[in-house]
Amino acid sequence: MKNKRIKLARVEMDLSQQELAEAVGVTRQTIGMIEAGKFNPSIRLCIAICHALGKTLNDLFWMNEGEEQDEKHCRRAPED
Amino acid sequence: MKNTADERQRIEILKAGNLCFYVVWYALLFSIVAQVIIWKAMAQQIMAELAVFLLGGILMLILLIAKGVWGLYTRPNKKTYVLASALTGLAAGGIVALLYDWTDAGQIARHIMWVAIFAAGAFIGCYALLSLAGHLIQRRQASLVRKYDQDD
Repeated sequence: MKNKRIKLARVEMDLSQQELAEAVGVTRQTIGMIEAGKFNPSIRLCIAICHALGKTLNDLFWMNEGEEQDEKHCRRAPED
Repeated sequence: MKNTADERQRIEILKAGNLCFYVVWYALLFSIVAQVIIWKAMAQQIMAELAVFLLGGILMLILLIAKGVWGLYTRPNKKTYVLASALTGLAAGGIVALLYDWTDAGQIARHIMWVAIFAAGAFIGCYALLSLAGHLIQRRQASLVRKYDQDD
């Protein structure tokens, strides 16, 4: 599941993936994979990302049931 | 030495290591079985491979017991023990059956008896080992629950 909120928060802070990666002590690929929804970070890393972007866990990682279903629906729907 | 890998890379390294272990372990088993069946290798000729194979299995079992985990797809219960033991028994019986010359009609009853003895022995041995491992793992899981129980 893509995490657009991390990308938005990062762009708002004018940070590149590399800069965020250095701030939280991981590689750029890991940030890219988290944003693309290909890797589930540990709670420790989630908190580090929140601190680096000045957001809360709720802001970046909490997803309501409706949002999850929308996300699943979007993934299932064929592209126009 | 300083760890330079991040958590995703560590997970990928562990996955790669796990895959390599199982590939090598099953390749070793295949090589032992092939040597016995195809080249009729004697016990002393495959002793080194067998020792390494058993070492891998025993080490994995000890670590799983120490960590209190059983496996990915099954649970430590009688159904699992019976199923795994039956498969092991069938495999052991099959390997022994392949070693015999079945063209001699006078020996067939004797061969069947030995195949059945090996299959039953493998079944019983495997069942006993799995039961013991399952019991120890469940005991370890209970001790971990007690250790980290913060409700009191």
